[in-house]
Amino acid sequence: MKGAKSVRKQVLENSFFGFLLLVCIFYLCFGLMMPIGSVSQPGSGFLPAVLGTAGVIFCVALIFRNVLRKNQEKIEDFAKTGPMRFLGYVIVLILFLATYKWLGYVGLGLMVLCLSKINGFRGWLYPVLFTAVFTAFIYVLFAVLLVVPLPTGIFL
Amino acid sequence: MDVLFNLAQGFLSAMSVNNLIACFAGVLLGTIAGVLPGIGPTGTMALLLPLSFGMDPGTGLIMLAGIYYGSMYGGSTTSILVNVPGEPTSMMTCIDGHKMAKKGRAGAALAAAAIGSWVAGTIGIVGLMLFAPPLAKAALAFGPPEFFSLGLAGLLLLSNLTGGSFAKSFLLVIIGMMMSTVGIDVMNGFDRFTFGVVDLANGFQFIPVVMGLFGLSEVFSVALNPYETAAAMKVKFKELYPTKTEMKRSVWPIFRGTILGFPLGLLPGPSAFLSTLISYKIEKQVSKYKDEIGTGAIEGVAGPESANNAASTGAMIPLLALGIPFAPPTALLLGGLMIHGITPGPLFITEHANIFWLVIASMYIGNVMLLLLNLPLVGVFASFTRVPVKILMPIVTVIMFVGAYSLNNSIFDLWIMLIFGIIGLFIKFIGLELSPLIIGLVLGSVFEEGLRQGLVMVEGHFLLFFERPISAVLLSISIAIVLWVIIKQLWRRPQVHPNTVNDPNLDRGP
Repeated sequence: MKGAKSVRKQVLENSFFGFLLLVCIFYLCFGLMMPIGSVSQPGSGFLPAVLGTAGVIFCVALIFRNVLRKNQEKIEDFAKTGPMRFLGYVIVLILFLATYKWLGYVGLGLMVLCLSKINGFRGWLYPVLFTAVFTAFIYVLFAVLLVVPLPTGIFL
Repeated sequence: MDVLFNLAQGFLSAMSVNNLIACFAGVLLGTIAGVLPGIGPTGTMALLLPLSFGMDPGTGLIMLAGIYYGSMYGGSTTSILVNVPGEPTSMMTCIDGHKMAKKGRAGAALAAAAIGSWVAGTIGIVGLMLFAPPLAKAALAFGPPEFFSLGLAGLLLLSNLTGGSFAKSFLLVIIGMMMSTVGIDVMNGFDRFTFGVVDLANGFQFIPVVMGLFGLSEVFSVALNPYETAAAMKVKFKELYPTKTEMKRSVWPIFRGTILGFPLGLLPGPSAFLSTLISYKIEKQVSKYKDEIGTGAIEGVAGPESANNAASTGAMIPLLALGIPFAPPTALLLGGLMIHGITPGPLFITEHANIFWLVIASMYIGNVMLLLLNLPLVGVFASFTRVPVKILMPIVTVIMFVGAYSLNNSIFDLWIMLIFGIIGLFIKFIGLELSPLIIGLVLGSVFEEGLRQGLVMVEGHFLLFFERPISAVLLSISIAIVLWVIIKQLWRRPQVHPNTVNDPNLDRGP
């Protein structure tokens, strides 16, 4: 792919299994603090203890296998500007969620505007027009037709 | 006779204006979403689930089922005209379908896909109608040990069928099951892994998790690598008719695809996708025209398309009869049912017989609607691939967020969706399947309740699980799967991947 970025699959896999290993250890520790009970009277911690242990074993085994195999395979699956666009998405969505309760439909509109700009909508007139029409459509569809109470925010 | 009477009642209800509109809206929206690359049946259903909120349970379910099989249909259009599969199950259709289109036989390929899907869908519904009620009756005899054994066998089969490494799939199943343990323990009210967060008391809500994993992750992957809006080939209405020879050549592949796809749909995991792969392989081996397959043969379209539609109908049997979804789209149907206050399971068909037969009847009607919609409007559907990313992605994102919010009016659910969207992107990015995680989450509670109640029942003597016939069979299947995986690992020859450097001291098979 021209201009595409690549990463080693093994690095990504190991980071992912490493993350899951941490999750499993954390889960197991808290699971062991719960009443495990006995085989004839299993308690709340019974399955978490089994799952946590199994999770840790599988994660360690997969990381170990990956390290031994030295896989050179690469993932070339995203455009050059892809990571920045993805980051933009995440930031916009975090800001939207943090303010949705107060901004309501205005927040929704701002999200649409930002996402359309991130996706390459040029100029301001058409993105703003698109945002206004689409936000109004959402309002009519959800608030009026489906009677779903979405946050209206402090502006409405 | 009971079946015919119930079906007639179902048809009477399905013919009401509301239900017909819901059915039409479902298949239309499903087809449109199936045409769009990437979103797929699960993402589509997650996306459009909120639209069913204001409806009666039966009407809502009709629409959701319509979206499910509509999206299965829609995927073939882009595969044939644009060479981009709308959803994974249409991948095999790309090979011969697009080559047929290049030869000027796009219309015939589309017609074969539509007719094959219709035949398979209709036969699948007959199967669903005949097999689901007796299975539900049999399932009434299920106790906790049976549900535990079914959950275990299902999860092991799923890990083995997803195609990739068993260990990786099983790890995701474990993570999904871990997620299912979050929240208040229904057996004794103990608070598990909530860390004082009130919103987690009921555990991870299934819909936001699925919307994140399947829907939002797709939006993120398009952000990472936006696709070009494709130029679809144009098809004239008169070109839609296959020739007599093409029709004749399609008959057996459609039949084989249907017979193969339906039972595969009963298995856990991405059975619809698997069925297309197997159907294509079978056609390559047994078809009279096997040498032409891969160069634009109608068998390569008719077989896989029939198989995936039969499998998607078959997948509804475990959901409706046992209340256990074995595939992500049926898990979403389960979510949709539960939102409407209906819990599918062995009692569903007797307690909500009207809804069951209404849905069955609507599926017959929906399949005819799909056939009528897909043939003349194929050009219109194909034009949806031209909607630019800069317009489509903000629309999809907003509908998803608004939809997820409207489930519980909770912003917490939106955070969950965002987190799982990022996790889903990562899982897909490293080439793993998402379905083990989601099936682990759904089956985790069935598994745990079955195990704990079963152990209490047999006073800790686990071997007594083998004294119950159904449980014994299911546990034997589980043991066989585990043994099969171990033997496969032990006897596997060391494979040298072109990009893999193997340490000579490692991986020595016996």
